[in-house]
This record gives sequence, structure tokens and C-alpha cells, in this order.
Amino acid sequence: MTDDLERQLRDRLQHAQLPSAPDRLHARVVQAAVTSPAQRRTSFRGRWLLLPIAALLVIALGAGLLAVGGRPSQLSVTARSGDFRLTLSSAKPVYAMGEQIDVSASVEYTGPDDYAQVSAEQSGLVYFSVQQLDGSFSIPGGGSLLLRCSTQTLFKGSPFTQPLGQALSYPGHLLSTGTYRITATASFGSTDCYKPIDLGTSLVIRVGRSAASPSPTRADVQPSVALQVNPGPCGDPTNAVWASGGGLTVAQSGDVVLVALVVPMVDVTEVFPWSDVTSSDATVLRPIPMCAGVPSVFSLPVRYSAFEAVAPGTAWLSAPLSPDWQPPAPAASGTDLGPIRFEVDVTASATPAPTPTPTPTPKFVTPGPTPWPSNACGGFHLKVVNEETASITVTINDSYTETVDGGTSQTIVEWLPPNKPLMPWTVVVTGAAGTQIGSAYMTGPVDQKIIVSGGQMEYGPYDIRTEGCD
Amino acid sequence: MMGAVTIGGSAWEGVQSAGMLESEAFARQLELQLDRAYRLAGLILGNATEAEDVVGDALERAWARRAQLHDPDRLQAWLDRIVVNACRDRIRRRARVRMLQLDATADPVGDPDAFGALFSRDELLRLVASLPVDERAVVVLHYWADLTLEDVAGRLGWRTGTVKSRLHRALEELRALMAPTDRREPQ
Repeated sequence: MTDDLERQLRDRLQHAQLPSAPDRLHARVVQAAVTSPAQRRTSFRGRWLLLPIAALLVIALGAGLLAVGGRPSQLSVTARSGDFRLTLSSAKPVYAMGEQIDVSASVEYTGPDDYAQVSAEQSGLVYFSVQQLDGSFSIPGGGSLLLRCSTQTLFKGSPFTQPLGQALSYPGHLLSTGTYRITATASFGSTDCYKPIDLGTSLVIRVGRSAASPSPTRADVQPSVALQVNPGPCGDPTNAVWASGGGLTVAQSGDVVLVALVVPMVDVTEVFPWSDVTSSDATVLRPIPMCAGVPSVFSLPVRYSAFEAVAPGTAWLSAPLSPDWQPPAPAASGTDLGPIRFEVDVTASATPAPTPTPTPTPKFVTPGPTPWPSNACGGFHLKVVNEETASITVTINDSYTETVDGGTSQTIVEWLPPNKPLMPWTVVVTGAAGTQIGSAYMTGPVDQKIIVSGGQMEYGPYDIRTEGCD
Repeated sequence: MMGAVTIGGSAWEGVQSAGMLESEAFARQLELQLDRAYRLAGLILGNATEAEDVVGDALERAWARRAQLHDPDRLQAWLDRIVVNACRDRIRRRARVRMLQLDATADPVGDPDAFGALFSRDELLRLVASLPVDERAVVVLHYWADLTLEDVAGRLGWRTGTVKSRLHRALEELRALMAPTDRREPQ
């Protein structure tokens, strides 16, 4: 059987009609030959696995939404990284059924110069994704990559704007009744199509049932709760399953269960509607601290809680309504907000903790059989702190990963939900002259921090819960 | 001058210290490996657009690290390793962002994805594409590139035992995936 399968594999793979490399790749080799190595190396910074969301500074959170009883006229959420700003706007928070969704994203240069040249793929600087929060509709984000690298000039004060409809080309730019999270992502480089800059932000819009009266009602907008097992960096609930309460979630011992409570649009007030989420049985599901600095990438108020599945059993996660909360206006129709209650069944872990692989010195010892992930942020994090004045280079498993400038730090994250990160890592740090400063062997799951100072390298556990996910 | 440069031995070393000539010679040797690198990435990723992107990444990595290639005879193995690592990076990235070829969406009658079409035609290759990326890489390097397990281990930076276990696991998974079909269609 095995021989037959192996023969088939060899036969099919070796006789497959495989295409040749496109001319574009040949052109890139030529291009590389005439570009200075220093410039190209710089272009790799932050390319490997970054924390784009963690690096964001959300400076506007659904402007106007927090006004009690007021009808916001426009949603606008902005993320900033360095000298660039990504603004995602919707003409209004609520659309009527059949009405064109007027959402756009703009990238703006805000640095000290008159302009900046940025490079990105032919399809543009901005990608969108749409996810229905109360249904299954979804348009995945993405864009054509490196089909053609083009350079654009961003003049200060003249943002590049990309409408949602133009970017996605979905039929009629229409959405059916529901609540949708729209995410805009901008990825571009300052010298070529590699992307040292990643920006992303989201807003929530609502499409009402009535074309005549787009005002939302409680029947239209149900409370949103997300429970997610083993979330991504900093609790990004991208893959969460959204529901209005009462659901059943299954987790395994060692999993981290993230709870996100999102306030429905019509119930937004200055007071968060729910009290803290509690577990009915801390021996089954125990509360753990969220990592500091969880970004609020929603245009609606959201509150996160995290729990660790400790042992097999059943526990309820519940959040009563806050006694301080009052509905912003008389209920138009439908039901009022109510307490949240979710059942979580915890089963025994099916996957044993990874066993360390013997490696060359210096051997990095990870204490204890800590289950994956070891933190509420998900994945494995390596923070590199460079206290030298010159830059250092980080190589992981012989693959160039990051350049960390003097006096700065970078966090490299590996996140592969639902799978565990690909470990181990052999991390080598070299100085500007190319000399090796030190190396470390990391098996996870405990996050690690490397500190380079005085020509020496030290490393040890990194407590992301107190230091944050960035 | 450039045409006289060969990958092996002294000719390569002769241009290593010659500034631009070094770049040109290295570029020439990289070009000779392009088809193989592209096919390797395509077989691992199952998508031509991503394969192109990944090989582009790999070229950049190779270029940035070319000083580390002390033995020009090992260029292919060295580049294989970079390509596989770039594929693994891409798979990780897939977990966060799904890439959608917008041009293909807008023009469904355009050029089909050669790797995607290949995988859609061949059930066995489609099953290979469903394996975890590390197992996929081992299968492709062993059965397509016809490398010994020791050579695969050298390219991936793993121990031979690790390669053996991953190949064993891959074959077991493929067998399990094929089992229902086998039962429906007895030989």
C-alpha cells in the first residue's frame, strides 16, 4: 500500500505539467542586481510576521456614536503607524435595505516632508474585508500580490482614497439586512513592494430591514457576543463566532477562551451595558488577565474578557446587565438588552504539550509543560529589545526575520490558529558588522524576550500580560 | 564576461570580490534556479499567484544573504531552503489574511491558475495540498525533487529522523484521506 502510494506520488508529481517562472520573476532578479543591498535589506523590516493590529493607534472610536441619544451622521475610525494614517469612513452607521453602502478608506501621509513615495501592488494600497456579525456573509480580505509593483506619491494633505465598492466589486455594492464589520487593511512599502508598514482598522455598520425607514430597532440589532477559543494576537476576534447569547462552546483544557461583548448600535451609551463576565466554575474555566493594550478596532464599544480552560467539565460564562446602565431611548420595538449567558464545555486536551528537541548550545530551557497558548494574546511572542546604539539583525531558523534599530524593540509573533505555532525557533542575533552577538533556542509556549546590551545578549520569559501585546 | 561565469569553483570565487560583477553573476545563477524555485513553491502552495509572490520573497532573501553562501555548488539547496521557509511564512500569513486575486475575480475568463488547475484535476495532488505545510514540503522535496531524506533534512534544517517522521505522518494522512474513496471504488 505504502509502496503504491509512494509510486503514485512520485509519478504524479514528476510527470505533472508545471509552469515556468513568469517573466516578472526574471525581471525581479535583474532588478535586484542593480539595487543596493542596503536598500533591499531595509525593505525587509517588519516583513516577517508582524503585529500590524497591535501596532495601531486607534485615535477615533466611532466618532459621534458615544453621544447619548444622538444619531451619528458618519462613522470614522483611524489607525496610525509612523507617518501614515489609515481612515475608514462610512457615510452613515445605518443603511436601508437596497441602499448603496458608502464606505471608503483613505491613506494619508502626515510626515514632515511635502510628500512620500509608497509602493504597493497594482490593485491598490487598501484591501477590504466584510464580515457579517449576525450571519454568515463574508467577503475575505486580500488583494493581488506583486502582480505589478507600482509606486505612488502621497502628497501631504491629499489622501489616497479607495471606495469599498470599487475595491470589492461585489454585486451592486449592496448588503442584505444585518450587522457587518468592515475592515480596511493598507500594506505598502516606502522603497519597494515589501511592506514595512501595515495598517488596519474596522468599523461596524448596520443594514436595516425597512427601505423607507433605515432607523435601527432592537429587533434589527441584537446584542453581539463573541466567544473564541485561542484567539489571535491581542484578542483580535477575526475568526470569532458571533451570537446573541445562549450558545454552547467547546474548548479543550489549556485553551484560552476570549469573550468579546459588543454593544448594539441602538444601545450605545456612556455606560457599558454589562457587568464583568464571570465563570460559574473557576476550576473548569478560570479568569485570566487580558494582555495590556488590546486595541479597540471596532466602531462600537467592546469589552474583552479571557478565561483559561483548566480542566474538563462545564461552566457558564455570564454577564449581568450593569445596574448603572439605562437604555438610551425608549425601545422602538423588539426586546431590551438582557444578561449574557454562555455554556462552555471543556474537554480533555487531545494534543500533548510539545516535547523539546535536543539542539546545539546554548540550549534554551522552557519551564514546565505549559499548554498552548501561554497567554491571552494567543500564539508565541518574541520581544527583541535593542539597547545598543547600532541596529541588530534577528534570524530565526536561518531565515532573516527582523532588523531592530538601536534603542528600539520589536515583537515577532507566530500565530497559526487553530494550530500551534511552528516551533522550535533557533534565534540568532547579529550586530551591524555581521558578528554574532548570541543565539537562543526556543520551543514555546512561554513567550520570550531578548535584550541586547553592551555587546551581550540575555533572554528569558516575557510576560505579555503586563507588558502588552505590541 | 558574465557569460563566462559558472556556478562552480574558482570562477564563482573570482567574481565574488568584484563588486557589480558579483551581483551579475549571482543574478545569473539565481535566474537558472527560477523555474525550479517557482515550481517548488507552486507545489507547496497550490497557487500560482502565491508561488510568484513567495519566490519573489525568496529572491529578496537570497539576495540579502548572498554573502552567506560560501559554496556556490550549494546554491540550489540553499535556495530550496529559502523557498520552503518563505512558503511556511506565507502559510502563516494565510492564517491572518486571505489573499484574493482581485484581477481574477474581476475577469473570470482570464488565465487560470496553473497550479490550482493541476491540483483540481488530480485528486492525489489535491490531497497533498491539504497536508500541513511541513509535511507537504517533505513530500514535494522527496517525491518531486527526488531528494533523499538526508538531502531533504539538509534543505529544511531538520534532523533526518524528523523528516522521516513527517513523511511517515504525511503518508498515513494521505492513506486515511484516500480510504473512503478506496472503499467506494474497489480495485
